Amino acid sequence: MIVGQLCQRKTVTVSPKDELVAAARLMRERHVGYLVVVEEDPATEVLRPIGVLTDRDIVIAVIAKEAELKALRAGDVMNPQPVVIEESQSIEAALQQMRRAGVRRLPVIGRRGELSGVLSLDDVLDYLAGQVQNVAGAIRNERQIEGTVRS
Amino acid sequence: MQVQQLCTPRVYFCSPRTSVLGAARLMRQHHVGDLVVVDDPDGDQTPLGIITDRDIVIDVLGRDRDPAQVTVHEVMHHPVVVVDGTEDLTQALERMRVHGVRRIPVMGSGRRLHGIISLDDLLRQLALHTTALAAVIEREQSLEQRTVR
Repeated sequence: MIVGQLCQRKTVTVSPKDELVAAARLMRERHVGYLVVVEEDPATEVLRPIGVLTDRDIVIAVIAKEAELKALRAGDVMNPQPVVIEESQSIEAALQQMRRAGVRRLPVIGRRGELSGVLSLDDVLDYLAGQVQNVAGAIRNERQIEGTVRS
Repeated sequence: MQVQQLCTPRVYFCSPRTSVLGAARLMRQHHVGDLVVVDDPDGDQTPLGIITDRDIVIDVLGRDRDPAQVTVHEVMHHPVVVVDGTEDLTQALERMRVHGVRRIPVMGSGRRLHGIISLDDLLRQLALHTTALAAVIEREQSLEQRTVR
């Protein structure tokens, strides 16, 4: 199972120059708590992730700089140079990255370094739960078939 | 296992009359993402509501409202889903599933809050069980290898 098969594709993005208030509005409208800050790479012309911005980051910024909230931009508050994972990498590698970085979400990039999705711990959990269900199903079916064949 | 054996004992409070900015400061101070709203932290700690950092962004900042001018009461979630400390973990998980929440305040005796239990706490417990299961299988397989020889 690779990252590309499990990650969410519909990512909500902002640019570093967007106002923080606009980012908050976007979180409200799109029902998310995590935004990826993207910038066009001059060489490849793709949108690459340069930071991540969570609802918690916004709240922390509000307390720290309350008077200048209106002047804050996404780029001022984001976590820069986020740990990312390639679509082609394994889930094990992704979990290792999450653990090393102490995060629950990783922006996913494609072969040209472009943002192509987000993988969260919840996505992996959902997949694992499905696998466990299959194991339980296999056990149940074995019992059932055993009961039918040998009765 | 009972909820009170696993839950995080530290809970942080605020009053419904606290400003959202005040609540944000408290969250920052205690390094948490939510506060339980009660009228009297020294008396009846039955939660009136819960406020999270997400609520502050979505309901206040995302609506161009000034956090210093909005009270916690206007933004908090209520009624609050709670669980008793003596209930089993499976009941806590069921409640989380039914109500779609990831954290639940845990009530102790005498209308006092015992702590908070989160989906992460339950997940870690499940992972421990899974590891124990894997250890049983591992042992069985290694014994099998030795006997066959």
